[in-house]
Amino acid sequence: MAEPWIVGVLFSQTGITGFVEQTQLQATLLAIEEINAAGGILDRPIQPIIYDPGSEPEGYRRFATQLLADDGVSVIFGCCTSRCRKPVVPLVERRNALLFYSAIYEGFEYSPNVIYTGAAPNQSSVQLARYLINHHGKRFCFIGSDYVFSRESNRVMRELVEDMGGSVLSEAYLEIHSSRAAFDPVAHKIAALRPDVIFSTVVGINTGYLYEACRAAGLDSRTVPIASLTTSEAEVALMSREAAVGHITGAPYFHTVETPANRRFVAAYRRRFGPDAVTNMSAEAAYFQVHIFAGALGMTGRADPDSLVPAMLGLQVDAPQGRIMIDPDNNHTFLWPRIGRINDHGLFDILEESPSAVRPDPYLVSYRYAAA
Amino acid sequence: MATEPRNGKVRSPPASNKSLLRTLRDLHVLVAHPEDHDGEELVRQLRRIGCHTQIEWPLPVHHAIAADMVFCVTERRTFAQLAAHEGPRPYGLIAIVDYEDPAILDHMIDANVQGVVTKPIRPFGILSTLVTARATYRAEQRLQQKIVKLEDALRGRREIERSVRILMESLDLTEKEAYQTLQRRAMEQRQPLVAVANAMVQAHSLLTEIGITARRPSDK
Repeated sequence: MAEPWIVGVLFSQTGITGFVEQTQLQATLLAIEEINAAGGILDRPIQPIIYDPGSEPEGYRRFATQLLADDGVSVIFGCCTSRCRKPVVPLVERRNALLFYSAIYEGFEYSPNVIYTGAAPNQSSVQLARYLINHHGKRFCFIGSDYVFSRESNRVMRELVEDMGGSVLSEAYLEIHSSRAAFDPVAHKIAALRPDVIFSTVVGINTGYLYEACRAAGLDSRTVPIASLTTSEAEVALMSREAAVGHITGAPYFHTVETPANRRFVAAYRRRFGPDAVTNMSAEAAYFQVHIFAGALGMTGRADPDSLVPAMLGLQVDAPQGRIMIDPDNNHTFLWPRIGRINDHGLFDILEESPSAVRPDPYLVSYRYAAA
Repeated sequence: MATEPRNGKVRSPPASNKSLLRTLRDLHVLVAHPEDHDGEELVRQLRRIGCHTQIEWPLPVHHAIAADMVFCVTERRTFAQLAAHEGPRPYGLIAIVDYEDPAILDHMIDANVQGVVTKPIRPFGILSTLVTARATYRAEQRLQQKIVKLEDALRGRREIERSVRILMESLDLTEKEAYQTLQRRAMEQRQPLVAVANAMVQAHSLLTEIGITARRPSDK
């Protein structure tokens, strides 16, 4: 057996985002198995070293150091929240390694040592704001988990909403480890304000708490939908069906996307992880980024960023969401923004789809440029 | 803040710090650095941020610089030239530092740089330096303009006081009456108070020089 390509995988199986990172881990393994089944890369298989960082920054720092220093890997697939990516980025920079990051985030980052395959705000917030204003109204309440993603996403959403003639009635943040009970007073306050839309940047297991609390406070998704950039099929699985149905998410991928590549992806995912297994945006990005890596590695035969990154930039891949490409200017990915609404099966009915892949613009400060 | 002319056009700068961020994509940046790895890395990051960015080396002569911000490598002769420039500079200055020796530090202080980035250039931190340097530059400009205005006002105040004293002595008026005379005159002539005061002081010194002095009414 030829010597394998060793890669690091840092997706949590425990902690507040363990349930979604678990799907990223599975999608990563599925892609690796597909590549190995097809003969590996240059006749060498990919072999992952997997750690569970427990959804906390300290775990990511510790295991990223271990992967880079002790295990000697130069490529890591991993991280979900920005609070966990931030400690890893300087570590991969110092050792000139490469991180593949497959989650939506708030933008304002570029590292030559990171490939970003999730959506930047210009590929998510802009489309969502426009949809909400057009279909639901102009009066918004914001609720978020208290960390950088929520604060920055709300800044962007406020600017978009106000530019489109809307207003923000309230903006509240809860600690990222909040209890179910902490959401009740917030939901009641929102209900009293009678907004047209609740924009949520609550993440992790707290997502389910928010949707349940809103339902308990008498908020009806038909009149006051909760709109989110992070509530995927994985988060929906945390809630009762009644609390989930009718709410709206903006994302480049849903399990229900109808492309030949997605039919193949979903079928393979279900063969491997069970007939009821459901994919989501983070899993899809985790899946196609391994294929991008494999494509570049096949061209260069070297697993260091100085060889891989130039080969990857401009490389096109038929991802489940559509044909995607890494932007050579900023290491982010051209993606296909979509709007979905949760249906009775806990999946998303796709309401809108971008007619083309949208170029990533991670440093877009002002959204008056994006609205044009 | 005054408007800055560029290529014949007059651009009014943003009013608040919020719009300072919002106008990053209208910002013209000159990178005065050789086109090597560091220079290109810096240009790429500034373009990622969305600024209109050009690279040129050596630094063009002062009046040929049409940028809002200049990143300039701390080359001795260039910085000596920047430090020697007198009068207001129509752009903010960020030094690109590769040595921290005392002579270069002196030059940086003399050239009044608003920010520093260090070599080797890495993308992280460029945005922070750009934004804070721009804010510092604009705050300095606002203060400078305020100082010019205050100096003008102070000079005017002195002229008015002198003309009031002339009127008091020449016409035996109280200070209040003298001031009112001056004010009336300015109103009749539709001129600023300072201009009338100035004319009066000059006329008085001319007359005094040739020996004519106003007689007080009481000397009659």
